[in-house]
Amino acid sequence: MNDKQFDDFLQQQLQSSSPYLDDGDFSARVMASLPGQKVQKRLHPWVERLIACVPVTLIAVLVLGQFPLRDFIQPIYAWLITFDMSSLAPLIVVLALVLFAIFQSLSSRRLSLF
Amino acid sequence: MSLSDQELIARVVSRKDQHAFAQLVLRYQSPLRIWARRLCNGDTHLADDLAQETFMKAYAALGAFRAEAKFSTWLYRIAFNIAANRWRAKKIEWCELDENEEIEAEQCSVKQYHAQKDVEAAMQTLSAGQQLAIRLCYEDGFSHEEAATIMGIPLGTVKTHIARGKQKLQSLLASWQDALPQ
Repeated sequence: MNDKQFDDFLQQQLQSSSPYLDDGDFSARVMASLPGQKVQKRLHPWVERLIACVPVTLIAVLVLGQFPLRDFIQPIYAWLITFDMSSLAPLIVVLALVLFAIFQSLSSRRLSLF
Repeated sequence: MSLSDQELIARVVSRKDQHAFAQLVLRYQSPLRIWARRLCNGDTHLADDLAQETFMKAYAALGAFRAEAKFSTWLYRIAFNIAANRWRAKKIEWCELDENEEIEAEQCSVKQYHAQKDVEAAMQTLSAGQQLAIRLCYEDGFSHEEAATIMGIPLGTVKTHIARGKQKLQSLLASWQDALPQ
C-alpha cells in the first residue's frame, strides 16, 4: 500500500465512520442563550385589560363630549315627566298575567320532579 | 437556495440577524459537537456544553472574524481555546497534547473484521495529538495549516503528528493492504 493509497483509504474510512449528530434542541438552546434574547414577560391579565380599557374610555369620553348631550337628554326627560302613567295600565296587567302563567308552569314542573 | 457562510456572517454583523446565526448553528452543530467530544474525551454533556459556549463566543466576536480563514476553522479554534482554558482550571479531563507522550500502543492484531472498526481501533492507539491532527485533516478535511491554527501549535508539529500517526496506522492496518485496489 503506497502513501497515496493509504491516505485515500484512511480518509474514506474516517469520513464514513463520522456520524451526523441530530440537532435535537441544541440549536434552540444556543439561540436562547445568546445575549439580547430577552424573555418576554407576560403582564398580569388585569394590567393588560387596563391598558386596553384606559385609552378606549378616554377616547369615548372625548367623543361623547363633542355631542350636544343636553339637547338629546332634555326632550327625553320632558317626555318622561309629561307621560300619562295610566295609559300603561293595560300593558302592566298583561305583563302580570304572563309572569303569573310562567311562575305556575315552573312550580308545577318542580312538583312533578318529586 | 442556502446562503454562504460569508453572507450569513455579514447579515449577523450588520443587522444582528439572529435567524442568520441560527442557520450557521444548524450548519455546524454536528461537526463542532463531534470535535468537542474529541476534546472532552467523549463526554457528551461536557462536549455539548463546550459547543454551546463556542457558539456564544463566536456570536459575540463575529464582528472580529476575518474571512482569511474558514468559518469552521475559526469555530474549531474557539472550541479548542475554551477546552484548553477549562483544562487549565481542571474542569475537564483534557486530551494530552504533549508531543513526546506516546500512548503505549496496544499492539492489537488488526483482524479482518470491518475496515472502519479496525481503523477506529488503530486510531485509539495513537497519542491524543496525533489523533486530533489526523482527524482534523482526514476526517474533517482541514489542511495542515488549518489544523495547526485550530490546535494552536506550529505547522511542523502538526506534520510530525500526522507522519508518526500515519506510520503507526499503516503498520497496524497492514492487513488491509491486499484488500485495496492497486
